Amino acid sequence: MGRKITIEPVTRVEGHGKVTIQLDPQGQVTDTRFHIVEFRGFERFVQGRPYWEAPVLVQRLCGICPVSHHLAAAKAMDAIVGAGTGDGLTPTAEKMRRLMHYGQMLQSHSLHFFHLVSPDLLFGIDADPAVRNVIGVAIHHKDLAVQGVMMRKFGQEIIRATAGKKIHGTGAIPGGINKCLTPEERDEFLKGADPLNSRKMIEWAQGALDFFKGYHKKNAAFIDGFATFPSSHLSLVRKDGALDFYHGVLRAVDANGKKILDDVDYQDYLKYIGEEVRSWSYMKFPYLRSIGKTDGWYTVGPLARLNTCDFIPSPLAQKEFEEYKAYTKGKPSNMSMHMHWARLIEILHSAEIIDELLKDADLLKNDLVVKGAKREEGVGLIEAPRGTLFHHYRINENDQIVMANLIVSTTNNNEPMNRAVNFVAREKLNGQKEISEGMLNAVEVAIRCYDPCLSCATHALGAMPLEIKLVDAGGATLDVLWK
Amino acid sequence: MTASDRMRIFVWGIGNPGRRDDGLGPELVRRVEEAALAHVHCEANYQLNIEDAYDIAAADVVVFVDASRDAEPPYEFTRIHPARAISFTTHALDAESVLALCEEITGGCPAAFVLAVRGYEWDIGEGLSQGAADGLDRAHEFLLGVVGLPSIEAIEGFASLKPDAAATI
Repeated sequence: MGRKITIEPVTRVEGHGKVTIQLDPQGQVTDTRFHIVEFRGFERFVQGRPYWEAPVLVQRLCGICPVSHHLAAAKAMDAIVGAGTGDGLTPTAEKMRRLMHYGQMLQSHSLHFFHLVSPDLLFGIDADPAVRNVIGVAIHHKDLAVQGVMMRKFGQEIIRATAGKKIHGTGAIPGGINKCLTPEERDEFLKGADPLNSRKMIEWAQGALDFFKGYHKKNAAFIDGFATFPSSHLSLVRKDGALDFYHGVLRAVDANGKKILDDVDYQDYLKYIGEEVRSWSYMKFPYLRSIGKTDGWYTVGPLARLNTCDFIPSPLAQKEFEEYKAYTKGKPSNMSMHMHWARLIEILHSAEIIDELLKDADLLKNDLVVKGAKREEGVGLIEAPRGTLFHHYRINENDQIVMANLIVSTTNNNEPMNRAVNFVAREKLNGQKEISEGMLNAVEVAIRCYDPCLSCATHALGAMPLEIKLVDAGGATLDVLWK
Repeated sequence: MTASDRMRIFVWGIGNPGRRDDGLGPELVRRVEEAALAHVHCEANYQLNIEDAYDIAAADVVVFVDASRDAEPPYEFTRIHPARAISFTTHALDAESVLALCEEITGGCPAAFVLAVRGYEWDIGEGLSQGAADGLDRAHEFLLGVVGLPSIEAIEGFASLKPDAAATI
């Protein structure tokens, strides 16, 4: 008798998602789906609201990455107020936003690596879940846990100083920002007591990279072979091809590195990117129009960014990037677990850029806002921690938002996450008589590479217990497990 | 009693003000902040996370204020303790896990309580439901009484009491 395994919702990812794995009577995996079971329609919520409220309103989408939504919406509103499309702000405004964003990258990536990934690496994906968590890391590897906590805290404090507060920050406004940094704030981040200063963040980021590379050396088969499949990759890059999280042009490469898109102005993203709806998930499936719905899917996030960019504009991260690229002989990496390696390089880059920005006198100046001729439509793109984030708005003559379209990072990664689940399910579950906790965690490990935020993807926050349901081919429930 | 004699109390509001009654925690914290009590430090965020383990370490008492789908209306006040057995984890942590992490990385943690205020509406939107707003007023009054108590034992005496009894603070 065939059976279906349901993991609902997925642990260690946010929101309401579930995985179903269909097995035939011989225990072979015949189908897998990673799908979303809740939809709230956030785009409709912002309709009718004045456009200048959008950068604050959209932070209600998600408690994990509100800063990304804040900045993407602000960039779209820059276009609407005639302040250019990402590069027309005053130096102070752009640098303050960059500081906010790189602070967000540092804290978000640190949370993911130290809190969600390091337990799998330190204890093994088969380890008892009662130990395989951040408290286990604190008990057995206290230094690592402390570093994770403090790196997260440093990034949060940067956000507080630039966005004004932790909840519903107001730092970015249409056409600029509403505050600059004070000398006291700058000095605290630059020269504050250890460990909460930018130098220590750089040092710890290097330490985390060394830890990962050491693990990789000993576990190359796992890191290189787990959920490895060919994919196209998409991200923003700076005009000159540099890695840039805040602004740039769209670039996409195929699994071998051939450019599919290059130097594309994201105001025109609809010409290049479509979104497919499938009946079994509320999360859409974006694709590159030039390739089509079937094969036009792509990966976003740290792996994609290091596959699309030509170099990293900070010295220590560039050195790491060269070592990283040498491993695949300059070709794109299609190894899902290399997402963690790429993420750690991005932490180092973020720490370096924060240090560089803090030394820039422009942050202390008071030229904060520019405005020009108003437009009715604007698109804001940003490289959020999890990947490319699209915000698109249209307003009417009364300054009310009449249309909003958001493509969040996790939605961009919908198809690759489904592929990763399928890959691991076939490898780990095929022919197994008993389905163990470790096997199911392997499926989650594959999803976790992408650090999905389903609260964004569903546009909803939600509680998230774990239910694993075994269902036979006739639909009868064989077993239900709760974590 | 002078301010320096008092216990250091951390009131921590959890929730998203953009999700109707989920904003109970931050709203209650905002009201407590208005009282400008020197021994009370207030903080609010969408959810608890690992860095909060460090932030609460300096306090004698931490009160986590959160909206609840199933608390006895209008609120419940309970004592909680560090819990190391996380059966699953998300980007966020529960209060017991934050306490455990605090204990592991700093060598101790404050006495901790949860003030769970009953919520009813959770859709995206602004403003509290009438039921939540009523509960907020009573929870606010109660919390101001709690932070004025002289000892952990005194606070503990009000944990798990029905609101009517607790209203005698």
